[in-house]
Amino acid sequence: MKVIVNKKEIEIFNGAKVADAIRLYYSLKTKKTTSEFPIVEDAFGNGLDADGRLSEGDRLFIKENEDEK
Amino acid sequence: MKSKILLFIGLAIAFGSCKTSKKTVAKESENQTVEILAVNDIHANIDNFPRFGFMVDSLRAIYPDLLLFSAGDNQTGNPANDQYSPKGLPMIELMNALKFDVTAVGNHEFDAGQKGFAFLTEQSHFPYLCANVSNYEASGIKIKPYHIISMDNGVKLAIFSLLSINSGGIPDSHPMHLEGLQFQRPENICPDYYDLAKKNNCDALILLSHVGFEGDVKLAEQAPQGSIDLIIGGHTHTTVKDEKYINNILITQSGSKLRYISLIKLTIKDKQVIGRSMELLPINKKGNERADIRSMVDKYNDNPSLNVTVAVAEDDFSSPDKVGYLMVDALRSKTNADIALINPGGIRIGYLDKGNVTVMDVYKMDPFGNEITLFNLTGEELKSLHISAFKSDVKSPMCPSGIQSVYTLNPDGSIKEIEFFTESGEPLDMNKTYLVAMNSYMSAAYRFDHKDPGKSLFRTTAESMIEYLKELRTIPSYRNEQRTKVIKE
Repeated sequence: MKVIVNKKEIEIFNGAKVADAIRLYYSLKTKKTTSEFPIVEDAFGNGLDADGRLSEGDRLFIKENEDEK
Repeated sequence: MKSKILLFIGLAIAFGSCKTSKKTVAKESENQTVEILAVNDIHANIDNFPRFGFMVDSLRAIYPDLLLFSAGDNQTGNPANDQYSPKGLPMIELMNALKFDVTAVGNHEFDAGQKGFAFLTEQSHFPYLCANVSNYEASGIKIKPYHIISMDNGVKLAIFSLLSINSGGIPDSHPMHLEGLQFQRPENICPDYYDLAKKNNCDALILLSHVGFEGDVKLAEQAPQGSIDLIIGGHTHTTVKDEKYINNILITQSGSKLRYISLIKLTIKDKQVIGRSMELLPINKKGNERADIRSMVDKYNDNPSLNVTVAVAEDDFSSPDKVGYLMVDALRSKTNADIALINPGGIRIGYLDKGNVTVMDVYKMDPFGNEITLFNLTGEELKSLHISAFKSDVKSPMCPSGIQSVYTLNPDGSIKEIEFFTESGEPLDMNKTYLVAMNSYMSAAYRFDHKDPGKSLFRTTAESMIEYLKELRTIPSYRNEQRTKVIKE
């Protein structure tokens, strides 16, 4: 399924969680995943837990580094 | 306002207030209020229940008719509950003790299997709601599409529930748990309930949703004005801190695992909702607890099921790769995959003593809660996965089941070539496509070529290993197993 992280569309396995999408996003950016899970928000500015389940088209924003948006 | 609520909670307990529900029916023209405490996606985090119980009691001292709702996924996520016999019963007993009024069916409610879920619904003192599932009657699962609550103050609430359905047409649970059940898309069923409140002479219509926040937004956008008053949501573990109105419908969700609760207030006049508000209250780890709930939780955490022997090892496992081979053999067997793989970092113990292997030993080997994922990979894609994993895992090979792998390295340690062989030593046919099982961490962390996007089986690798070992009973020696070879040039 396709989800959007920081405005970048990524394709991830069906049934993935927020943490999986962030991990994949970081791996695509060849950035090491930090041991501390970053603050992640949805398109409405709500906080998302790492183990939240994703659906097709969900939009995520990593808040730890504003310039990545 | 939040601090006022918390202060009230403290004062109520300090003065020993107790719940004294007054039966007062308001006159037609008077404002009536309804207070709902909503949680979602508890995922068996029983450790927060003593604090949660104290807060519920405290709020009931302030609001005697307080309603307690769960938006689903009460189950799965804590071995003390998930490995309990019967599976999942601790959560039900705790929810009964706190007098939940209603719960949505979340996808993880099915994790106990249909027989297990039927037993849990039988034990629950509250109804399970889901309007987009059918054909469940034969399994004995007790589900209703909607529920009407008639309160002492004369207010009547209509509550219906919807469950998220994935692109495969089923909820996010292992398909074997859903055999025979039929599901419809929530957006197709939702309109059937727009007039539920009117038909039942109710004052408000509440959607108790396990669809996820963005899905709830879409459901709210398609709803006619004045139909749904409130959506209490779950599934995406979204923490809605401030009041969110979409199409004049209030949507709430309180994160997950009982870190927060949402206190929702409805003001009703002349059978219409004229006011709505929501506050997100944190459940802090420290503070007053409800003593009887603490005793229950301590009992569940001292769960003898965790120390149950699931198999007996005939020999010592003296290195992480040997433990890893056992783990991938379990994964491959339980998924019927051609190949199973585990990353070196996914094997958390370096040895396993000969003798009894307990449930807790499995959670020590595999403590992460990673789920099983499946991919159809060609030989070349399998190679791409191995190259990515080798780079990410500080030049350590993955442990395989179903194949043997030989890495040839350049002098600088980078990979020159990887060759795969079948278990009997024949070269692997690189033109074929193989069903490959791995954990969800590997699926996301490794950057590899794959046309198949892959899928989760919505069950953890640890759970499937426990099941495998219970069936295996005797674990053979892995002393002479060597499935990977690294050649340095």
